[in-house]
Amino acid sequence: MRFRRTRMVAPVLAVALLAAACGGGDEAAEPEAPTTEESADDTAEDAGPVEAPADATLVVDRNFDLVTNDPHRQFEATGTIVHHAVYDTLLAFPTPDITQPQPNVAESFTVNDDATEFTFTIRQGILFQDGTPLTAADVEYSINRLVNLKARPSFIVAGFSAEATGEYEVVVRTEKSNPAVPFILTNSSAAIVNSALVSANGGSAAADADATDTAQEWFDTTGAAGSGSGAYYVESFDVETEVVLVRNENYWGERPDWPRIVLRNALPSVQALNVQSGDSQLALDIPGDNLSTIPDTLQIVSEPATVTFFIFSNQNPEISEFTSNPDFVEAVRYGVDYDSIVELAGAGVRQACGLLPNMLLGALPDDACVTRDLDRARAAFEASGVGDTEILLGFPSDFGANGLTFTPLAERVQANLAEVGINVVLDGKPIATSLQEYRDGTQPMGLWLWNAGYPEPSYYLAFSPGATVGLRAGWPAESDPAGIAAAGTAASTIVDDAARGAAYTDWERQLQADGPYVPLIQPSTSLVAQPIVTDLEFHPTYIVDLGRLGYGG
Amino acid sequence: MSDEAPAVPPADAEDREGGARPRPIRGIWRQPLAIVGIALITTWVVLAVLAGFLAPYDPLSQELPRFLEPSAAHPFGTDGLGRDVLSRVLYGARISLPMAVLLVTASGTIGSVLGAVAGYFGGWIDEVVMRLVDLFFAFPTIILAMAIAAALGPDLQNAVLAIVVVSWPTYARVVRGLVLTHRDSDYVRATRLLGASSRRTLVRDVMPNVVGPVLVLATLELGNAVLLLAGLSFLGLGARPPSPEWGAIVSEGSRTFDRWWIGTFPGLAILSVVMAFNFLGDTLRDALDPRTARAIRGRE
Repeated sequence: MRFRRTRMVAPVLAVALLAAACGGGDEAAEPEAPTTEESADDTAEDAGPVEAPADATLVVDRNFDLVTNDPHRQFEATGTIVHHAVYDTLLAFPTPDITQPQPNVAESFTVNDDATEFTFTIRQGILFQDGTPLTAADVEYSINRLVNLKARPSFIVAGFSAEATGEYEVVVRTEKSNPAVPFILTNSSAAIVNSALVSANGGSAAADADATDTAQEWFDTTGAAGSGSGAYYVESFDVETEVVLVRNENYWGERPDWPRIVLRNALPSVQALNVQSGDSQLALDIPGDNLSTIPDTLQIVSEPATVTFFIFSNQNPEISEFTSNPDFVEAVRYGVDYDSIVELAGAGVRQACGLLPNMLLGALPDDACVTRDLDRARAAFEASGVGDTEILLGFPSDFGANGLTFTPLAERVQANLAEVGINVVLDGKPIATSLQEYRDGTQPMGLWLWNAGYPEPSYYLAFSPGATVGLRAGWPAESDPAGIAAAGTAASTIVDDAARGAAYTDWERQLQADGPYVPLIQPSTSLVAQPIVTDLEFHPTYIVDLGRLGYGG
Repeated sequence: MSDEAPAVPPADAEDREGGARPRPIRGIWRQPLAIVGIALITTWVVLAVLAGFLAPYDPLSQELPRFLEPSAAHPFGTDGLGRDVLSRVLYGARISLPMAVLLVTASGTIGSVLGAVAGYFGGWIDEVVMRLVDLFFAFPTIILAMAIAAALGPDLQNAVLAIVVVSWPTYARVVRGLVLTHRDSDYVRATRLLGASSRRTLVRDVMPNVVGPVLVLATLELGNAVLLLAGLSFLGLGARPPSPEWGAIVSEGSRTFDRWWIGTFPGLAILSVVMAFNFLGDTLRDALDPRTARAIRGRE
């Protein structure tokens, strides 16, 4: 679903349309200054690019979750925005279409029959920001560093190894068959760094890199200019306040419009004020609820994010003899009023029919969405014998994502289930406490989210019995008579996309039938921008591709 | 620090110093601030008691349209979950007022008893109690309350407990100072020479001189208690959702600046109650503790 609103007064529209033409580029004629909206429409096609002044700065507000500037150690959404602009990856999603990774640093690749060996041909002529040519040695170093650092994002490349087999050829091997490798290598944590420069500043890709690599401080304190080959380089980096990006004049791709970008930490409620007053030009976290108050002179783009909010009922009888009852799970599944939760979450939000977001391979079709059935829910609840017992619903009370906070969602779920007769008590706690309880698997019920680290269904195998989220929901591998975990693992090794997608769909249907999860919503991300920002587009993986934002001044 | 002179002198100090006699407590009816304070508190007490009849909607019901601006149908508008803000503010009084009274009573009792014992018996008991008081005073009140509430878990009862823990030292210090003043008075010595027990001396001879200042302090602390409780709920460490506690509603309103009505009305409720208790406390101080009142007026 796409929700876009760009009503503006005539002169502003004229500027925006003129600027829209600059994305295309080179064949442009001299721009003319239209005097009416109609004339702007007529002339926009012929208008040329508007060159941004050398001192033009794009201020972007973002609610920071930054941890580090070391791309192989970061796995947070804000870090993804920054590092996608600063570093290249072997493959990428140049447009919001995330169904198939596209060539980037690798201009092509081949894969063997059992999807354990991927041979990438590296594009020639790419330079790092400091002028050093990017070669296969840098790719080998980068992937092996990500693997061996054993940092937060390293799990996505567990069992990987890279070897440069020529100056411009790299082979990536995996221990197990893994058709998701091209998707995984689009993650900005799989950034290609300048191996010589990073090594000179304490970096290591050796097997003991987790103990010997000391480059993080260099990345964090200096910005590590020269270490990337992306559209921008980091001029200054502060995890609490702002990141300043400057255009990389050696960039091999299309030259970015904005010479300088300041990514600034701001609370969502403040972002709305900033972008309206012109203090910032782009806001990334304005809640869907606030969009109706944004004036028409600003642009709004809302798109579903690759995030799923879900509830689980703990299957461990030692945690709760009630939530582990299958009838209770059914009562919750059919007792939630999904429409009311979608309405609560605001513009662009959709019901999560399954755990996989709708744009991913294998996602359940819309007709598989659960709809509320109060009679069925009440009958199941009656059969469960839970009665008036209080059931604690754990969630982080001070945390949110995509402009949504957990507390109102939990309150709405509580009200929905009260109609069934379920006595849910909200147990919201600060995220540090609540997350630990969730990880320990001690929450009788939980309300959490799952964000696609890379846009491939294998990332969601964590929900299988005995896997990461499965254990948090008290669902061990031995409680899997239907073989759900095995079905998921088998799906992940199928090379053919269509067959793999179908296998994942079957896996998810099994999860839906026998699992303890109740997917709720797939939230939207809303970008709000001043008219001076053109080519505004939400990207499901990178949120916003800073290098592709146009200047419409 | 704990050995300093009492912050609040005894009620009969004016008599002994030949100053003006304290105005009788019934005189407070002639003071405008007192009338405003009492009227506001009475109004809130009535609203709290009759909330079930006066509130137009169930404060927890999410059936209404979301974010309705204030109108005749919803004078305070509706919130992000479709709940009537007026109903929530009215029911919120049922939480904030009793809880404030409860925690002031608890902290006042604990602090007064410990302060009286420390002041009367002196020695190691005094040292232990007053060093404990110093320890609590070393931390900012709200930070300490937050730490305790976070450790106990977010919950209204735990928030009250946290505030009691951080509030009692104030009473202990004041009462100790007052008791120290009276402990060696001639009339107390005379009573003891006549064979009165420590308990009898404390209760019959010392306490009447302590009650007035403690009452003033407690009234002023009621306003602080409402603020602290609302503050903890605002930070997510007090009332659990969907409880219509005022601080929690203000917190919700702060996330949606552009829907001003959600946070404004419970904020005004907090303001009016705190102001009312402060007005009343000031008036009581004038009546029961004129020396301090005169000192304050002198500074002004």
